[in-house]
Amino acid sequence: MKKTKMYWLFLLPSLLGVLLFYAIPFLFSLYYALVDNMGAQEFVGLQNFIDTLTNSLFQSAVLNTTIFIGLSVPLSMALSLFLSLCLQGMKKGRVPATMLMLLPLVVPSGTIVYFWKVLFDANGLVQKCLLQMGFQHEVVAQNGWAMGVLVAVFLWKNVSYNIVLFWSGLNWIPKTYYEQMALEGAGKWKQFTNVTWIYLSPTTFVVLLMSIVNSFKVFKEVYMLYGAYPSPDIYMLQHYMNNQFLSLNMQKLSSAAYILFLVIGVVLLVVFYAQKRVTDAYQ
Amino acid sequence: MKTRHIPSMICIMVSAAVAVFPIVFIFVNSFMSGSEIVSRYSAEILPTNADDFTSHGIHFVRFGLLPREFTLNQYKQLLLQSPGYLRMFWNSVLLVVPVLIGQCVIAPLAAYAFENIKWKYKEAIFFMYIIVMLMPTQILLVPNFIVAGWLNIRESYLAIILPALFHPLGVFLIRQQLKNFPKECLEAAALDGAGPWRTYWYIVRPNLKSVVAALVVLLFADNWNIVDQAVVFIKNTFDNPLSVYLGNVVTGDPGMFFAVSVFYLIPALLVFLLGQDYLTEGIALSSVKS
Repeated sequence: MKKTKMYWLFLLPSLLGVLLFYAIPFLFSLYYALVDNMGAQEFVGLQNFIDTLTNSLFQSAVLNTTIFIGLSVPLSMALSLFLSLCLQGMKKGRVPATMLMLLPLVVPSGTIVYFWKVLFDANGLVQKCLLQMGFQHEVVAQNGWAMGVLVAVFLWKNVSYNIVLFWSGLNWIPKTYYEQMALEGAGKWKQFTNVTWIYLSPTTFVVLLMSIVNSFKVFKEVYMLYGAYPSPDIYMLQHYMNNQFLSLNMQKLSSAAYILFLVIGVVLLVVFYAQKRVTDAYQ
Repeated sequence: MKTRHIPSMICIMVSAAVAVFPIVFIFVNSFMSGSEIVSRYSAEILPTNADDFTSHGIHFVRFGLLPREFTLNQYKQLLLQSPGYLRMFWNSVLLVVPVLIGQCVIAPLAAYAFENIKWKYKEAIFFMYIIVMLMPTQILLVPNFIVAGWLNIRESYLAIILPALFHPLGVFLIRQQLKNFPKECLEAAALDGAGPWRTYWYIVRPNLKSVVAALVVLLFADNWNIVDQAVVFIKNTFDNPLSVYLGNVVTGDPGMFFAVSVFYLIPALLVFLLGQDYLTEGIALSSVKS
């Protein structure tokens, strides 16, 4: 009996912290989302949610964030799967190579922002090369490229994270499976589809989950490169939220947070569920 | 396998080079003089860069890895004449160190408790931890902001430090590790009459060194790169951590940027070098497998 109390005592600091700084105020913010303003605090039902969902800035922020995730997550997954297979094909030098590829993970976003500018800015190296190759200035200087820049910057920082995940997944697959396939006369591609792809699928879901989670961190780079007020093409949900913080609008802030929470929660649950289905089917 | 060896090697070497190149770039550029940096990378056409490629009234960058003249002036200026930069570097230290220490004390105990408590709803509590861990910073900032208002610490670093102390990542990582801990050891300790605290201190804690090291590397990488929280909570420019202010240096003081960046990068690289063996372990553990 006494022992159990002791364990609760160990848990207490952490649990109180999580409840006080995350869970309770988040539940409380639902109240803010349902009242009209911080003064009268009159109950207005779902009005704040409707306002947020019909807000054109919010809509374009959702659209841009979705485009960004839709581009960067599949690209980073494909690239990291490819590179982790390459890593497996290497005979020596794996550890130093992995370490070099992991370096971007600890590099603060701000310290290399100038590098990205030199590369991608209006007077940057990429535009210079394109111009010198004979492309028209109007094509080269389009705003639409900004999203591509963000995807490139995201890939640079986050692909190595996924490589490590895939790599540890690959190491779980017993070598004998491949040997058996080779004995049966299966080629490399067949081995990949029949062994690697199938036994890697639980890992793939983990990578998908972590990629979605990590894709929200790109705000650091966006903010560093384009400041608090970027062009409309890359106006992200994070910008929308930040502007509500600065204008201290608790109603819009809370309702937007709840909408995002629900959407992300559903997406994560679907991924979880799919992972469980696939894992159960093969094991 | 033999045929795959060479192309694989090339792909990996190329991507390792891509990963490292920007870091090399800022490092070598930090030895250029301020005026050289401006004349190379500024969009304006200046007397010193008029010979370079220009078009539509814009000067295009002259990408370079070798300084025309090697100088340490930027570093000298940074260390001797730039109290602003040094202060913001110190701000970053003030924000990171308490979080690292606090997490290393609180998280292992909580993870150990989670493994041993036998309440039937404890997994429900842990599920709450996982949800908080997976949510993006912008959502978590809303509760953080509300609590900071209640406690009246919106203007203080505590508004950033306190929530970070309790971020569930640490508890999650260490619990993943504890699940592989041999139960026999714990049972043997219990038979010898060791209480929960003695078991934790003498048996569990010494075996957590590598996962705690992994946690420190991941937390340092995250908090040394703090941007979102600082943008919301910090009003005064010189109270910012250097991670945020570097964005302003690009436009405000480009000549100093590379030296300041290298200066800010060094602690991150040191932590990386010290903890590199644990970093991969930490990432592998952080994957939610259940």
